[in-house]
Amino acid sequence: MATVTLNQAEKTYPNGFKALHGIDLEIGDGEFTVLVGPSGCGKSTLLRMIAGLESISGGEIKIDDRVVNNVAPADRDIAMVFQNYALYPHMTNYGNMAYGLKNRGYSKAEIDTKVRHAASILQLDDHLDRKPQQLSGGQRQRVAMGRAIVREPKVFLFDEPLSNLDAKLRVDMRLEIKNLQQRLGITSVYVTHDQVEAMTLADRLIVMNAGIAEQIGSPIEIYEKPASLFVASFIGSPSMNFLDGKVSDDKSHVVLGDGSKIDLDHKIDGGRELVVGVRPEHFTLIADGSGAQRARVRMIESLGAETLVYLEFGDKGENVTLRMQGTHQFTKGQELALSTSADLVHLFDKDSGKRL
Amino acid sequence: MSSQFVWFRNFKDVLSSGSWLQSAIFTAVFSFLVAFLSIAISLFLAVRADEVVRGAKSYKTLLMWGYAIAPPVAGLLGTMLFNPLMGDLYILLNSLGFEFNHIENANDATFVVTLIAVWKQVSVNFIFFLSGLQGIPKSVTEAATLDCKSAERRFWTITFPLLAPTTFFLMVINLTYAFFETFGIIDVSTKGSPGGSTATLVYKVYVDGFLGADLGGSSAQSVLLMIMVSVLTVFQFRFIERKVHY
Ligand SMILES: Nc1ncnc2c1ncn2[C@@H]1O[C@H](COP(=O)(O)OP(=O)(O)OP(=O)(O)O)[C@@H](O)[C@H]1O
Ligand SMILES: [Mg+2]
Repeated sequence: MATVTLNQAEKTYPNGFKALHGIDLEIGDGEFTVLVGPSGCGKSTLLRMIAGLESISGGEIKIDDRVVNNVAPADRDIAMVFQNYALYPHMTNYGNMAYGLKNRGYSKAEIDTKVRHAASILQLDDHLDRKPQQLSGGQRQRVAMGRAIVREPKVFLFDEPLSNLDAKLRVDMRLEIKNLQQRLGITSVYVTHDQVEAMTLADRLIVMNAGIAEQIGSPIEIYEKPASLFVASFIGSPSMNFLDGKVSDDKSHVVLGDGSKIDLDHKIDGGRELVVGVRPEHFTLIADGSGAQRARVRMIESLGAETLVYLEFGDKGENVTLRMQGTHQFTKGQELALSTSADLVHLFDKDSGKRL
Repeated sequence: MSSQFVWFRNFKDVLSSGSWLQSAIFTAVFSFLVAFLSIAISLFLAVRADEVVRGAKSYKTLLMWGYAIAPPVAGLLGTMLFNPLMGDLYILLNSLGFEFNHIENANDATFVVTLIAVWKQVSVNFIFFLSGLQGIPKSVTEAATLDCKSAERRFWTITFPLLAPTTFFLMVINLTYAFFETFGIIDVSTKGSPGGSTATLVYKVYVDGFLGADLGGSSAQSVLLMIMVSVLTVFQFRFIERKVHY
């Protein structure tokens, strides 16, 4: 049971590279927080600073009310699950789980109870006497989880724990992690660059970009109200469509590249140029094309439950993706009329990329 | 030179002679010392170097020098350092009050050959240990940092067991080295003196056969040596390998 607080946490690596530019964050007790962002944005760095594997160059990190900047990793009462499992290859799986307890002075009997309990939660009972090499990837990941949960730490840290697993196993383990975390109620920080993982696991999502936290919020908040172009393009798959637009002089609508209009409920200065974002699932196909956006079909992908249509829009041939339920047939070059509703449209400043 | 077939008399002579036994004991002690010390020292250096990986390059080169030096040259360097008239180490040890004299004292002479042999061997071991250490995944050591606060304990419970294959391999290499390849060092530094107390079995084969012209005894010694080495090798692989994890 713990909270984690970051106050202007900064990281500058010894080679002078500034990986984190002042992160402020408060993680509530029992909360599942997910850090998501493109490769190299500093997710692992942040996680490793909480773990104590990486020094803190500026600001402070608190676990509960204790500033841990200078506390040894083993004394922070955290447990971490690594991407490549990081199991001790010379120990049995039992030994792997018991190691941290042994070093903390638990008695043999206590260790045995804890390890067997964790093993039964993770269905590892039959594998305790084997070495990690004798297990499958999924089982190894479970042992790594077991090693974390036997200690009943204040905070769980996960660094892309599922990215070495195949797609199906990843889905199973994802559910299992979520279940386990809810059942144990342990505050968790989870790093991933898989946005499905991020959306499904998170109580709170932190979208990072180049060493800063671009947006912090619940997954639905971030999906519905992305704070910037970056967040809008990063969250959601396929990615949001971005079209150039210009506000009409009477401020009543925004005009797109093909001359079609979208009504504005905002009061934005007339003549201002901006970026209009529409999610692929928020376009609808209409039969009568008057006043609608027109686009030519370039390619179709049928996924069974849904169909993705890639289109060319306006004079500039801007790329637009359309996501439709069920299966549909179109011919290449066919012209489609699309419409979208004004309240599903996102508007961004052209220069700063900020949401308007 | 006439020859006569004497069955196993040469073997009997060799085994019943005190000097052969003395040499065998010296070889055992010497090999153990060289293997143990050179492994311990190089492991210590490699762990230190691994902590400052950036310094590892200069460390590596520095310690590789010893490897590039031929045994007779190493021996010669040693003799010079221990020369009673001008050897720095000889003067230093005596000025510290050790009454050091490797020419007359068998223990001191053993110390000298061991020191040279170890110095020569540390470089090779260091390279192997360093690459062994760097082969341990970083995340495994990091996971251990979260599980165990004491760095010393982490070393003995994680790092050392993971280096076991390297250590075992080096033990074989070092024993073989002390057995066979220290010939040059001994020949240049002590020549087996005083009184054959620093003559390994290999050196004794040479002394008895080529200098003493006892070809029969010398050949018998060679055969015995071969048998011992075979037994030792089998022993090493059979018994010690079992303790080597993963
Ligand atoms: N030891 C280091 N020295 C210098 N720069 C580093 C070091 N470790 C990481 N970096 C840099 O810091 C930035 C953030 O790295 P980090 O590992 O946190 O990224 P990440 O968000 O976890 O990416 P990924 O999704 O690829 O794991 C990267 O640009 C990386 O090159
Ligand atoms: Mg990472």
